[in-house]
Amino acid sequence: MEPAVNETLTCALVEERALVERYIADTLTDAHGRADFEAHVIACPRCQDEIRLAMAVRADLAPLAAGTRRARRVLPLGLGIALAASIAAIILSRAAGTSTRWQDLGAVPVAPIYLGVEVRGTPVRGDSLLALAMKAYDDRRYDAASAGLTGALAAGTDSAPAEFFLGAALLMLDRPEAAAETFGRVIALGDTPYLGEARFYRAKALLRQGNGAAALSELHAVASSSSAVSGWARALADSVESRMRR
Amino acid sequence: MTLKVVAVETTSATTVEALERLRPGLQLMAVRSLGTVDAAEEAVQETLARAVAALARDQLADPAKLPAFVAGIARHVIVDMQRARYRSVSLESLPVAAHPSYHPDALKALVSAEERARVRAALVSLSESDRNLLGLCYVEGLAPTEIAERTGEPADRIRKRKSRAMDRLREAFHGAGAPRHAEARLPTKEAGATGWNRP
Repeated sequence: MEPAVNETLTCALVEERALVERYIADTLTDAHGRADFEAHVIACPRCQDEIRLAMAVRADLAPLAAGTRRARRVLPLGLGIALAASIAAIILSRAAGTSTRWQDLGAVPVAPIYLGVEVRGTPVRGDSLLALAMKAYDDRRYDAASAGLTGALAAGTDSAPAEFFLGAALLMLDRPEAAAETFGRVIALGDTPYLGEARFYRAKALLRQGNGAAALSELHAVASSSSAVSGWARALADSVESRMRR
Repeated sequence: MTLKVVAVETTSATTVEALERLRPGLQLMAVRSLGTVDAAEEAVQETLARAVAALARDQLADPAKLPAFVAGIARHVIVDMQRARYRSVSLESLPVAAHPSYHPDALKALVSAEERARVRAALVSLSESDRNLLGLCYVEGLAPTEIAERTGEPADRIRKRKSRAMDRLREAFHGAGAPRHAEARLPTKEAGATGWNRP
């Protein structure tokens, strides 16, 4: 999709660029003109109706789509092949040690959402670098985001958000060791708004490295706090413990 | 509820009317982002109050850009309210039912039970391949060209299939025999500016 920043949208452009679809699916980022779209929508009853209709459609189709995706992974292979694959997976998993045992629990299909960061006092150079890096992050260009965030940190931006999203970018780049280390630095900063989630995502990174025990320790620390992700930390901890007992 | 202009006496009735016209769209934007009707109402009120104050200070040079100006304020208000809850949240860390698009309160606030039932019935009447196509559009957020790349089907054919399916859903959504939304819901002097949001 072409970026559409600071332009006057029409309903035809909205349709052509599938902006309602992207908005509803939460994939319309600022870099792709979310602000312009919202500016159009608040003054356009037609697009408001399209969004309401799309919400109704999505609400009914989302569970079906999820089911279809799950089913498609297995069904085309056939029962016999699936069975053989399962057996092979178990053998491989045991042979490979603990690493593959936790891979699914360590998965992060959607990166933590960036909501913006208030800049304290006079912005420093690092703050503009942070803004650029986070644009790349919103755009799912995690390589660029990771490099940009490293630069922003070196230039003196607020370390808690920059470190947190650096960890998230590394996780999305499938670099769990570096991600765990980075989230560790966020945790070491103490009581920041990112503490709970840093622990949660560090646990994810540790699971990907095959370190269930260390992940569990992080998850217990979040679960007992009042973080927004406490419930999910408890659920993930339960899954880890259950797998440990097997 | 109408916009109360207490503090800024210089705001003209025309300005207030222009802002009120944006209220339904702001409510939609806020409900989707915040998930609950109460929080959305608070965000809309705060947005309109800030907009009135900003307009009284002549902060908008081009009146044609009022919607963009107000949408910008709304984004800040919504982000502030989200920050008050949490700094950042991964959708993956939330149950599906808590996702903005799935939030039952948000859906109930924006789509009536009757509308949903009609859309559901219409969806069932579509072919499985059309339902899958709409899933790629509205669940995964893909454009026809992206779907074409994924499936190998020509983009034009995908556009046509989608358009036909959506026409059927649109008809169902608005009820049999109902006028199309663009004509039916545009503000009129008699109906007021808030269109679809009125009971």
